[in-house]
Amino acid sequence: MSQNYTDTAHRLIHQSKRSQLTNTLYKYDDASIREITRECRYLNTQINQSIDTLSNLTEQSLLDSDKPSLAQLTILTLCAQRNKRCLLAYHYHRLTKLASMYWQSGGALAYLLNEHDAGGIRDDISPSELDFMRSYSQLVTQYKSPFLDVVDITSTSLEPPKDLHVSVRVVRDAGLIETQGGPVDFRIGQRFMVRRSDVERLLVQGYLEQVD
Amino acid sequence: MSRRNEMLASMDVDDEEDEMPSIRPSTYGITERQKPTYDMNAISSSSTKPMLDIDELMEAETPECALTQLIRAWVAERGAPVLLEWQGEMVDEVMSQVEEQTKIVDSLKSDDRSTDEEHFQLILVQTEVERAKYVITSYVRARLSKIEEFAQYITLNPASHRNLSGIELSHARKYWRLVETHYQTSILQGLPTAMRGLDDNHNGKSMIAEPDQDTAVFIRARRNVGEVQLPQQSIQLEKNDNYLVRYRDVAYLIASGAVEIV
Amino acid sequence: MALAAHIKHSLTPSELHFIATSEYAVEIVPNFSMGQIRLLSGIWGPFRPPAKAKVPLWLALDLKRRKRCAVVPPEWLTVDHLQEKLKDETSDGQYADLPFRYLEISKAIIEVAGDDLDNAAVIRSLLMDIRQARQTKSREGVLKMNDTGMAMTGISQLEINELRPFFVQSFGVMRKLGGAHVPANAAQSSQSQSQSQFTLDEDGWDMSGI
Repeated sequence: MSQNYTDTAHRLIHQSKRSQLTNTLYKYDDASIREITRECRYLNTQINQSIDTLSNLTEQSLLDSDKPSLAQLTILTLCAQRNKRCLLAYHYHRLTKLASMYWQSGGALAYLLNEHDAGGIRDDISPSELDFMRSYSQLVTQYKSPFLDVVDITSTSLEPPKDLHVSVRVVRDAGLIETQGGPVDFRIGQRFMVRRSDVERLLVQGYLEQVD
Repeated sequence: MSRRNEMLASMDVDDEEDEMPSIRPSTYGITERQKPTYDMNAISSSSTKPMLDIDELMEAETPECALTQLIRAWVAERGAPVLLEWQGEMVDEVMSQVEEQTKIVDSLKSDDRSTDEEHFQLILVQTEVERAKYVITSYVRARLSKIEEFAQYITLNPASHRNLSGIELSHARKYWRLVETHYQTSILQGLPTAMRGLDDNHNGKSMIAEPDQDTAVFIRARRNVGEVQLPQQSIQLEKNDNYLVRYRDVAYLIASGAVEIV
Repeated sequence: MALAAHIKHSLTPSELHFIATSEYAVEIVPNFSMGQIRLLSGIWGPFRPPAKAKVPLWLALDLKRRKRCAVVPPEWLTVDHLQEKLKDETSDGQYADLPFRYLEISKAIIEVAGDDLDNAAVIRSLLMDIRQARQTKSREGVLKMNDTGMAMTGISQLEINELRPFFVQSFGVMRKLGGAHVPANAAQSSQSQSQSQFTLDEDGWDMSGI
């Protein structure tokens, strides 16, 4: 460890900030996480040694001659705490980002992860984050069930409705979709006038684009 | 209270929080009180009743429709730093009305004898139904967003439970458990035992995110309130007055509906 | 999170539009004949031209878009009335008496039913002038701000929304400082900050998307 304590943790936080500013999810930084936890364990050993040394001293000698050790102990402790806070903040920031991506996708987890396509986030998240996403998706599904026969809170847009019908252009093939006026085959490039509620999900997920 | 409302408003999950409601009521009886009719022609134009006037509807004595109340609850929820009381009955009422309206629309749509006028009315009804669905969604999600943000605080503070519905409380607990598990697996188990806590409080900075009651809110008086005591002054709050105040100082007025957050 | 961050802390322009069109009612002159209609928001009609009918603004705008009615402008949305309000606005320290959501309502009506207004262009520019006069007042309001409560009599919804991020933050800072009143120099600097906020929307009208 040639660098200063908490340097890696600060780099991690800068990453979170950059992610926030650019609204992008970066790849999970496994290497840094490991380095920081290792640093924490090392700091902890140092802290315990300092405590052992200090506790062997009498009250008087503690005040008189060993102020440097006390200062050292304080710094080590603060560094360890700082590291932990940065780790938690980094992970928390990613979880909220993942959750909002889940809502933005209209609650379509498979689509969001999109394991076979380069567009998915599957490769950017840690195994534990994947577990979180799967469980979170189940949680939301449970939560929304009592509302479901009136409204699906994951697929309804948070943009206030202005018109009952919207004019849309197909940006990606969506296949055969059941609408109030019967099934419609949405093929790329086509334009339709459809009921907003029939295609809300496709709009949210980016299959269709609203044209005004 | 209808069946759904029992689920949304008062289901007690304290003991069996992992049990989610699974029975969907097949009918929503608004049986205790008079069931409102949503037949669009129910009130004929030759009725002897005076035509309902908007100004009259606006009067405090006339109960507002559930949708208007829900819109207000939604605006308040968006403006408040804390979770306000869950308006289960309002949500339930609007949902039942939406279902009723949808039923009428469906039956008239498939009926060949429906007149042009009826078809025109259907479009208007559907337009409003979409608006109502939007309000429900935005209201529920505004709350969910706060519930997740303060999940740990909610889990640890029983006093915060009274403003939550059963499924909301259950969601808060389960959500916090997910986050906790993720922290354990990804960070804490790699740290020394002494550093594995999730409720540290260093230098006055608590790890537990708590709603900030001191946040400033813009309020508008819905009726004459009279004198209101703030920490360093007292103000006269008359109908339609706007004030910028600390949430904590007017929380009781917001709860009573005397003022609204705008 | 279930709400995107940008809409979490204040209402978006399209949400304000939604609220105003739900809450406000206007008169229309329908060009179709129909009995009463029962909606979630109430019972509306009957529609018997040339009699006027009072309906929620969203319904009026919807009917107007379908070319089924003319919107009767509210009495405050006329050249005469607005000229008077502009005079009040510039001569009096108070905000002139206009509906709480006057900007959202007028914008919606002008956009969809501009042809039903007498002289929509003049009305539009009067509204812009009023809005600018009111923004000046809001800036002055910053000086009177203290950390327990602040009267904003007559302020409108949209103005609140514009001021919210700045005022709410200042309020928090003042509380931390623990002073009941802003010291003069702090007020000066916050004033200059607030000015930069307002110049973001110089024309005072074209709020994105309302």
